[in-house]
Amino acid sequence: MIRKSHMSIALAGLALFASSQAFACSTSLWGAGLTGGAGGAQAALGGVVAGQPNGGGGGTATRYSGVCGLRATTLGQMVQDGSPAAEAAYIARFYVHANMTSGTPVVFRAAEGAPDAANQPLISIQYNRANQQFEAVNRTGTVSAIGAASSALNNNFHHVHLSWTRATGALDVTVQGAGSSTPSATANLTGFSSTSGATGPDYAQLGWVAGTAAGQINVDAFESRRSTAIPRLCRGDANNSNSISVADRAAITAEIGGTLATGQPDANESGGVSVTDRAIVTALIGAGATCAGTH
Amino acid sequence: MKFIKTVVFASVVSLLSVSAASAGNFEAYSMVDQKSKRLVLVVSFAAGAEDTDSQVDFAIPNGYKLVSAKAKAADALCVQIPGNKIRVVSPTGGAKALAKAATDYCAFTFAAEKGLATSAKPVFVQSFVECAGLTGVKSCDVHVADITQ
Repeated sequence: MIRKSHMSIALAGLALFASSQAFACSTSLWGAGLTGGAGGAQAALGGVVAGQPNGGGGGTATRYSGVCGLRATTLGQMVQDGSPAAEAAYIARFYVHANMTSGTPVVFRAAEGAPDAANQPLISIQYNRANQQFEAVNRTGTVSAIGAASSALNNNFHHVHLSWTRATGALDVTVQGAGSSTPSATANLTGFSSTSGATGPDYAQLGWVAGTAAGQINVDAFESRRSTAIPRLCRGDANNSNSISVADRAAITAEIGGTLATGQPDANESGGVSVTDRAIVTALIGAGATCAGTH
Repeated sequence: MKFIKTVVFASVVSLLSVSAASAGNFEAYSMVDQKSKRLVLVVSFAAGAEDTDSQVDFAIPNGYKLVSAKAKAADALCVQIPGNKIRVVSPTGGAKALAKAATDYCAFTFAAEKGLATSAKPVFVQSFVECAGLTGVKSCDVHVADITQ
């Protein structure tokens, strides 16, 4: 897991990190702007697990990037951050691996107010297991589908990117994952108005935020901004070099052998790393793929 | 063409005998057949102690067009990539290091475009090279030569 740094426009960077595979994964970067501050009492709730795929780092979690991820197995297990403050524009992205057997869990929410007081959930993103698609829910509870049914297959990582504007109440969402080189769903929604012309997201929640369901939710690589779309991480860049080459193939081999890769080794975005990912990277190398591309 | 390849392969073997063995080493030899005007490039690799994967890219010389790319080893990639380049990728050794002995991976054949003076020796410029092992990127050398008589 990584933390992006865009100082002038960052709202909340990713809040899980591990300086090496020997150290614990942590949620200490979450909680800024909330009671207790970063790493405080409101940073991580319900016993949400920060860990590594191999059980190292303090727990077990499926990750997309780096060596740590965040896993929620019951309702209420999530992280929170209060860096936003009545934002007029809000852009966020995260990777989510929903492995559900039933239900419609909310995996992300941006809300007005404070978590420990009356608040208004302005934007909720939920995963509809039955339809295998993401949905957006506005402040009044109206549910809007993001793309068609089966556009977000269960048990795969998906990159969810959303962009909200107070002035229009518009919410644009793009979903891409499961190894696809193109988005599987896009939606340009309206009706996501804030409670007034001066209010907007004050905090964000990520994990199993709400909703009755069964299964587990893994999230990773959260980032938010006030402007400029957030690009996807380079799929298959296993050694985090911002390029696609044989070093990525070797890093995947090393991970298969037990040493976690520090980039994005899960080339088919299945939630695990195997020889299939190595074969995909080989194909990317043969196609001359670069991290500047859209693969 | 067969004669050309035989000459090239023999030259590679003789020159590799003096190559250092500590780092991975690509050897690329080209030769122009003055009769057919075809240009042949053979790329070999001798792995360093920890190299499980290797890759090298070359820019295709001006005035030439790739007409065939033949893998000389199973699972090797010998392809043209965007940017008028060719790419050579060894088969992965998985958890095992690749052979230290020089191994031919690819043979490329290029045709000269009309009007090109093939008396000039073509130059293959390396644009990228990488050797990797289970613990990361390793040092890697490339030697390019034209051995047209």
